[in-house]
Amino acid sequence: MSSDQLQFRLYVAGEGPNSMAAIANLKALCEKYFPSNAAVEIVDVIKEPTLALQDQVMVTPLLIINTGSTVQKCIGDLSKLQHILETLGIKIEAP
Amino acid sequence: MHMPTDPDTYPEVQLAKLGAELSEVLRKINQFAQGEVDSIADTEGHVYLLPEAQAQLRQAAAMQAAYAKERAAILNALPAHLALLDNEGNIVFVNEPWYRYGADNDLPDGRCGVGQNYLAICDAADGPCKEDALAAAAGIRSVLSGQSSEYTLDYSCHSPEVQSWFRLIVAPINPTQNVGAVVMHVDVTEQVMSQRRLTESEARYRTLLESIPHNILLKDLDLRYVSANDRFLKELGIQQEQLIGKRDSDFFPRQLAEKYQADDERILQTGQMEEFDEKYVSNGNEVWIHTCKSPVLDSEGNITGLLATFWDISATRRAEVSLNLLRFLLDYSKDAIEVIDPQTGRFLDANTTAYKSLGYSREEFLALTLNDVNPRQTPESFSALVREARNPGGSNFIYHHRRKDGSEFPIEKTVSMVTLDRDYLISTVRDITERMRAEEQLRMQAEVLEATANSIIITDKQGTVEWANPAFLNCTGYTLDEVVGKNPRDLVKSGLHDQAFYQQMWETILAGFVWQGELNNRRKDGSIYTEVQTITPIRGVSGEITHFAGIKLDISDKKRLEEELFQARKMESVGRLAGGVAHDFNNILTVISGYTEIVLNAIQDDSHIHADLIQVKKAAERAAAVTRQLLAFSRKQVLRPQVLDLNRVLLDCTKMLQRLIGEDIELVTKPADKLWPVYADISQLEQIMMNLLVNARDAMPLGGQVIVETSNITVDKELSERHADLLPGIYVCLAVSDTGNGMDAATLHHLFEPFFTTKPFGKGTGLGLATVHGIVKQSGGTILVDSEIGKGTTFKIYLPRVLVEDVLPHDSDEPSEILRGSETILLVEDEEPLRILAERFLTRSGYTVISACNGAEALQLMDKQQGPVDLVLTDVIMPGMNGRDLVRRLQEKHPHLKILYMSGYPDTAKTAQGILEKGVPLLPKPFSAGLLTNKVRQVLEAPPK
Repeated sequence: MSSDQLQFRLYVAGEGPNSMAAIANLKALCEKYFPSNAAVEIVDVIKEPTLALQDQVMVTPLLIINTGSTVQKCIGDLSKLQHILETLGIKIEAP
Repeated sequence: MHMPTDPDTYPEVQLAKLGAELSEVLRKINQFAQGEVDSIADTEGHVYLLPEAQAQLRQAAAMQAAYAKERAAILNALPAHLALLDNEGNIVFVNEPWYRYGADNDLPDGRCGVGQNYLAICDAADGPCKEDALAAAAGIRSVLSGQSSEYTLDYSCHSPEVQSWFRLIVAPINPTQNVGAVVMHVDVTEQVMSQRRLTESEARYRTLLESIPHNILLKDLDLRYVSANDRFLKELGIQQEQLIGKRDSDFFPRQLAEKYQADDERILQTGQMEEFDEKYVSNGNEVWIHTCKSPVLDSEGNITGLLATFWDISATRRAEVSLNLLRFLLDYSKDAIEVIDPQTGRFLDANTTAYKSLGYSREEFLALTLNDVNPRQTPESFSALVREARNPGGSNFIYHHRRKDGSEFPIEKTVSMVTLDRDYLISTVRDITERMRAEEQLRMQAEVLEATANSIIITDKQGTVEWANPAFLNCTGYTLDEVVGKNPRDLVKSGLHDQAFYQQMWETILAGFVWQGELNNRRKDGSIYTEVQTITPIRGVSGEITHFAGIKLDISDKKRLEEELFQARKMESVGRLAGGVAHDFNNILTVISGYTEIVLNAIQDDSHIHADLIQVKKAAERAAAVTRQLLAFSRKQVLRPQVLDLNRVLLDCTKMLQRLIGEDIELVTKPADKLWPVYADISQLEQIMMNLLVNARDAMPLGGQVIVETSNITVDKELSERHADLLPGIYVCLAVSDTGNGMDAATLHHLFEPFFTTKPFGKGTGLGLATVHGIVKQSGGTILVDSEIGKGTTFKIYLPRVLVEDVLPHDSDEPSEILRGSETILLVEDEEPLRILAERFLTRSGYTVISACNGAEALQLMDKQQGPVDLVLTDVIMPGMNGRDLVRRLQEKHPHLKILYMSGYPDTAKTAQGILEKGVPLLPKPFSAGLLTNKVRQVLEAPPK
């Protein structure tokens, strides 16, 4: 799987504590492992409920991981994101 | 809200139930999501924040409010006017300064306040700030749109009273999100002003730096260039940027750079400023540089660098050198140079010569005025001096200066006026003692040249006469005008010298040698004169011959004197010869006439033999007369001089003389008054007159006049020098002048020679003038002749004046009576005939005679003689023992023996040969019997000594 097509869309609810943690964890991971080849989009469900409805987002924080071939959803503050990505089979290594 | 009727359906119950269910749902969600979820959404898109998240958010909102409050306080505390804009440009916040600025500047209330759109305000701006406002709007927009991360704009905002500058700073509130911007206006007036002051100060400093005509440079402690002025850069031919950070070694030759470095290091080490003058050679020219190097200190007093200034002082240096040189020149000038105050006459300055020549020190001299050194100065003369000095070119004066010791010397003073800061009288003083002396000498020399008896001419190199002295003109008869510009060959060349002579002369002088020789030249009147000429080449300053000087001595007189001397010597020798002949001849005549006398006495008077013998005797007497003349000419005649009045002699014989010269010739006598006496033989004087008058007569066959004149003459040295024979002294002159034919030079030349005659053969003996000459010479006189063809002849006879007491008594005339005696006489005579004759005369008169032919025989006879001998009669000049020696021998034994000498040389007694003493009796030959016997008697009867 090529990490070039990796897309992250994180749905958060305002500045809720878990949302803020998820944003921080996602950014930290991306900066660490995908500084250039990951697209990150953060969507506040309070401000943009429509997009959340389309993506059938029921809870926040929720991360949609689009590898180009598969789409996976991950709920939580993303403190175990690295483990989740490895589980998903996304190759994680420092550039 | 819809209300149910069932209690359970009561709204409160229903709501409580729903709340419980909600709590259960929340518990389950938390359980499910393990607390990691903030919100839940339903299918309709409602999002429900979970309570934990809400609490969290409330706390965050509270914190944010506190933070905003804090931020506002911070922003208010900032000096900048600050506003926050949202991304539309709306003002969402202004800080206190911003607000106050608006209020202070009476902006319409709320104009720049919260809620306004700042972009709109800027876009709407008008007036002088319009451009700045538009630029600001554009800048803000670019920041708001995320195009720029920051925007700044400096602008001015001046009120009539105050100048203000601001800086607009626009920055995004969040660089990553377009959420608005911070707009700040910072008052930078102070900053701008101080920057401006700094710039101006720097410009001033720079201008100062550039306007100083020196090279200025600044180095750091590392001796690297920090800055330099344009002059120095231009010198190096580089730009400021090329200089900074470089060292001397980058621009200068190693040796020079090292020297600079050594200087710099010393100054950095000592911290002392240094100045020095140094000589450099630049492009072969000497250049003098004055350098000033000083350390640069910061405000703490630490050395931070080095400032060097230097400039070319060659011109100053040259000026100094030339000033010193000038001073040196002035000091060593032989002329004194004085600077005088024209008001007071005070010496303001002077060169060394000025005060040394007067014997002062410089200090002494500068305390004096012109008055002190110029003894004859008056206020009027000083005013005149000052006045004259103002003439263009100055004026000259001849003055005297007085030395410190009081002595004076002549000077030539040149004065001129120089106006600098004031008037200065410049006086150049030259000691002209030497010049005056030289001028005097020149004047004297010129006078000598004018006055000298020697002819002097000066010609140029071609021989053209430039000057001739009066002696030359007198000698040649030309005037100066006639000789100047001519060549001597056209003036005086006689033609008596050949070409080779002149050629040799010219070769000599053109070669630079002195030519000397005898020249026969011609006078203007055609007469020839002889001169000794010395021609000397005169060289010009460059050593080339420019002129010739001919110094001529007219030696005509000298020549004539030489001739006269020669003539006199010739006469002398001829006279000596004639004297000798006459002596022998006298002896013979004595014998002839003696025996004739004896025979005549022995025979009858009527005998024809007697008559014949008379003829013999007469002939002998004539022969004796000729002999006497010869002796007279040869000055050996026996003189009977006496003190005479020449006038008396002249008077006595005037009749006789008149008869002698005949009637055709007039005899004029001019006896002088009070004529001095002379000591002479009267008969000889008569003979002189006769001879001269006979000659005068013969010179005037057609008649004429003879003047016989006497006069007293004092011969001075000058007259004496013209005539070799005439010594200075007092003379009586007898002059005989005729108006006859005169004589030519050749005749004059031989005039006094014996046997020289101009008369026809048989008419003259040629002894006349020779006799006159002899008589005059014998009398201690001189005879001069002055004759010219056609003008007659004058003979002048100079006889020495005599004082009466000089005169000695003289024997009386010759006796004819024979005196007898009986004494014994020793006769000594080498000439046998004469001895026999004398013996006969004496024996006939009664004497006993013992004869000897020489001195030796006489001595023998004397020894043999038994009886007494009374008298010795002896010849003086004899072969062997002479008469005097004989007498001396005889007198040794016979001291009282009487002596009588005989001599054919009548002046034997007077000769310097010293044979006989003065006063000794002498019998001159020839003698008669009477003379002999009388003399013998006289000696015998004289009292014994």
